[in-house]
Amino acid sequence: MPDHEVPLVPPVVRLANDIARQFAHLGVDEAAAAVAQHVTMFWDPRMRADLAAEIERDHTQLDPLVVAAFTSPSPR
Amino acid sequence: MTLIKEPDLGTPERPGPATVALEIDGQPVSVPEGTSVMRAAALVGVDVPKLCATDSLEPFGSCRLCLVEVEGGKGTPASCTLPCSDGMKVTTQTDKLARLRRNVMELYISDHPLDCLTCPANGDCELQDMAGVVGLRDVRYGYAGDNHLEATKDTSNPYFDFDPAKCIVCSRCVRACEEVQGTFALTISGRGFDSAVSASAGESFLDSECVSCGACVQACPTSTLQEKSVVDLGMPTRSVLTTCAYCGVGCSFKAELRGSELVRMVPYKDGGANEGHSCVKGRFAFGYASHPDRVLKPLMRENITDEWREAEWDEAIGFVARRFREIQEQHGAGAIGGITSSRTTNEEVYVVQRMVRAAFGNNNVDTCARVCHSPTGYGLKQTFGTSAGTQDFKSVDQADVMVVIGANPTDGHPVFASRMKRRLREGAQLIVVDPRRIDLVRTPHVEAAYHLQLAPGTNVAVINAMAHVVVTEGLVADDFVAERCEGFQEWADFIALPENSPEALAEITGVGADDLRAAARLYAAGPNSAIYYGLGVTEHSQGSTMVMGMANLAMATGNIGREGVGVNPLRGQNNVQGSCDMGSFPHELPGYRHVSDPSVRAIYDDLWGSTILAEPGLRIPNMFDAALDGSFRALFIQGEDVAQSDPNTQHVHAALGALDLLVVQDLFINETAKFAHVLLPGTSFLEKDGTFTNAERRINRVRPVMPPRVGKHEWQVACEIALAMGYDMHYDDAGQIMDEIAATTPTFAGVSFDLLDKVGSVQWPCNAENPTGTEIMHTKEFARGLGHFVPTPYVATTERSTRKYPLILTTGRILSQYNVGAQTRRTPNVLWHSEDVLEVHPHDAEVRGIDEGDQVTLSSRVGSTTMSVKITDRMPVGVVYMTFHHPVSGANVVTTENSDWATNCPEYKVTAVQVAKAREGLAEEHAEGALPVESAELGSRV
Repeated sequence: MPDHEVPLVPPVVRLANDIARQFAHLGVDEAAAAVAQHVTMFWDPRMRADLAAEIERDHTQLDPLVVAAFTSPSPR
Repeated sequence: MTLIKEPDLGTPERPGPATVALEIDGQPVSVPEGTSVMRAAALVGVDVPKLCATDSLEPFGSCRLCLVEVEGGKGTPASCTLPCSDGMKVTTQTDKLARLRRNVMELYISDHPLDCLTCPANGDCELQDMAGVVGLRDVRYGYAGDNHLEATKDTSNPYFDFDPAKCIVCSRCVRACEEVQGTFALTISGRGFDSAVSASAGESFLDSECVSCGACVQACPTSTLQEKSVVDLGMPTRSVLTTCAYCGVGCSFKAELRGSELVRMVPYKDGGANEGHSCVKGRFAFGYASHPDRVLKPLMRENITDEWREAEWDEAIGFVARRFREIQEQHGAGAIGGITSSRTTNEEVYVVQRMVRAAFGNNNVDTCARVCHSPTGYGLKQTFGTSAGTQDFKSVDQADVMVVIGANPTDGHPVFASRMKRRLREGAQLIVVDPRRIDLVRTPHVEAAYHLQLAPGTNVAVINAMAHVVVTEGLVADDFVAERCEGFQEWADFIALPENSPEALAEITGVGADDLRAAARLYAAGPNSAIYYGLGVTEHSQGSTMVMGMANLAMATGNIGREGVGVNPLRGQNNVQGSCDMGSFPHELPGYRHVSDPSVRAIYDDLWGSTILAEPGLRIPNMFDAALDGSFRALFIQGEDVAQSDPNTQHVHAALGALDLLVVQDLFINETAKFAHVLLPGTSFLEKDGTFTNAERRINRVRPVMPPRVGKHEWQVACEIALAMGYDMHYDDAGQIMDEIAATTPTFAGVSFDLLDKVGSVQWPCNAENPTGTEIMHTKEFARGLGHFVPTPYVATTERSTRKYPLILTTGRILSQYNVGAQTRRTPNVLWHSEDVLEVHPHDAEVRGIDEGDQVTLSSRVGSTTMSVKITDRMPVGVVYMTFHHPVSGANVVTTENSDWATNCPEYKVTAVQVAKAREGLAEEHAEGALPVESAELGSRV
């Protein structure tokens, strides 16, 4: 039986980081806007609320683009 | 409907603009150049006697029954091999011809059992028919001499018998295996009197290379190759035209019955997708529909640890509705949701998504396409403007180069694979992009020009490298790009970066730069190059990116918008396309229109009396996460076995176990039903009334072969649940549901059951501009106007091999089994695949001390399971492969929560694992369900 020594993070953090990595090739503002748009288009509101709570609680596990997406004036 | 017997014109069509005019028995006829005299005769109603000829096979000229006389010509040529020519005057019936034919028939019959009255093919035997047609009254040769009447019957195949005593050595079976199926499993062994049909090298049919597609049985003019069901039950007397419920090819079949008893499924020649061909599943594996495991009455229980008890529909539906409402009152409207199925009809899916959006009052509806082709939906919509493949299957007949990426058509989509192989035998070139050496790489008379055996997870790097070659070597179709596309320059600047070159990426992908460059040049040269892809593209962390990458490459080379080209998803299940079309995704209403669009919501709100939310709902993996965090409490699952099919089994089981109410509608008590409080019996495809939409957007009728064995159609059940919840939803019949779909969905505007009954099938868009559908999309402009190039940077998956888990597992399916196996495991198909096995490279096996057939433990960071090993060099060193058809082995015990960034489609195709010889008894423990449940229920790694 395998061990599970890998660090655990809430699902929304993992999913948001996955999205951010795809837009990392863009400039910060454009990437943040793209992350925000994708999350808005495809995420249930409760997941967005969870993400917002994670940003408030501990954003060190989040890709900076995710944080930028939801703390900058980028379109939500 | 009486038994449908399609006309047989004897030889294939020879389409072409040039025609020739001739006379046959005094009747003038004009036919395309190259048409046989036999076919031309049949077209004017003159049936020339024949035995070795049939219009699905090239003419062979062996039976000598179809002789004709030609004015001014010598002898009596065979009309099947005689091409028509201008001014030809043919006579098909003279005394001389009659005498010759009788003599030929006399010889055939002299070595054929005269047991017509007790023969299973009595009434469906071309030899019998021809004996009558030629007026055979006497056989002068007795049975005293040598004959084949005592030849031993081969009954090894579970679905058909081979009785060589009845064989007339016409070679139709051999030719069908070659020309139609492309397997080349049959041959005529021996010479002269000893000539006999032989499977492989004289093996039994079961042990041979035969894939049991049924083409030989279909082609046999006698009872030599005969369905066992006909032997057992007798000849059918009526037919119902319907559509197969297995893979996304969507073959049309004649369900042939005696009374209400299904005798056999026979592929329909006019079926737009299959044109008379079939595979072992569609042709033979329908017995699950009458399997004793079928659940025919609702089952209920208070707790999932209780025993099931049978209930009446009213009680079950009342309970379900009451509990859904109670849970919503307690936990909010968004605490419940539903999952639709790609195994159900468009109409059933449409009604379930309406139930969720209108009666549940939320958008928590998703479909099993989430775990297969959701990246196709995203990627093709971003680039082309609509979420569907571009071509019809027939288009491949015009392809000069095929690129098969992450698909295994000979196993997953066998009927289309036969079509591909036919084109490849004609000279088209093949590029296979796959970590595994699939059969198509080298199969009789087919060999891939390039097999790019990439490392799992590096698809995007490979497609970018191919595009890099196209852009940097001046292979772009400039005119097409300039006229039809936008965003090219930004994309081209990105793709031309040195980091995207084959040389730079070779170390990551494992694909040699020279091969990759050559493959890219071949694709760009075409002139008609077509991409076909499967779940090896979509089920990755960059599944959506890869779909866009393929679309970019096709646009850059101008391979869109005509026959022989395109980007074509090979859909896994029969109605993946349809379930997506019908608004099953939580962010989209039918026709792929986002829920945030008020004008689209208004269409449905006006019609349904609802208030559809403008925000997306939960996707399947999100539902599981929300179930574990307590915000999602009840779920309706129609025809999907998420407990087996979805990744990270422990996580899924924990989520299902956390629900207050799980309602499953299915044929069987599947793995998911083990967590259910209510099991509503579902209908098999033989009982359904509606439509399926296949991988080529073809909408095909599914006609009821028999009434629902459970007393209700599945769409009726959804309506009754909604009604019991206080939302009035009613349809008189399935046709009325399709009428509503057509009235509200622009791409379906012209579709109706009446139209389908008239024309057979249509491919959407079917509307005022395209009243009989659209075979090829984006011919003049893209669905979104201009095709959109999207830069696709390669981002490596976070799933990496480690010292502890040094191998990469990838998964796939096998010909005889279908998905979670709920259907095919309940048929004799288990003879070919009774368990999932792990394919391991000889090197990886040797260093672990593993031998062929050993039981091994397969472990990942989320779980472990046990199975047998097959040692093979199909996989590269460091990569292992397994199928996922059996719950005992449970491939998804080891797959992880990783998913496509855009759609959450699971990353089934890349899991870091370790393989070790299993300790004794471990397999039994796993078989008894002792699966580890210790995983990351609350989260996962960064």
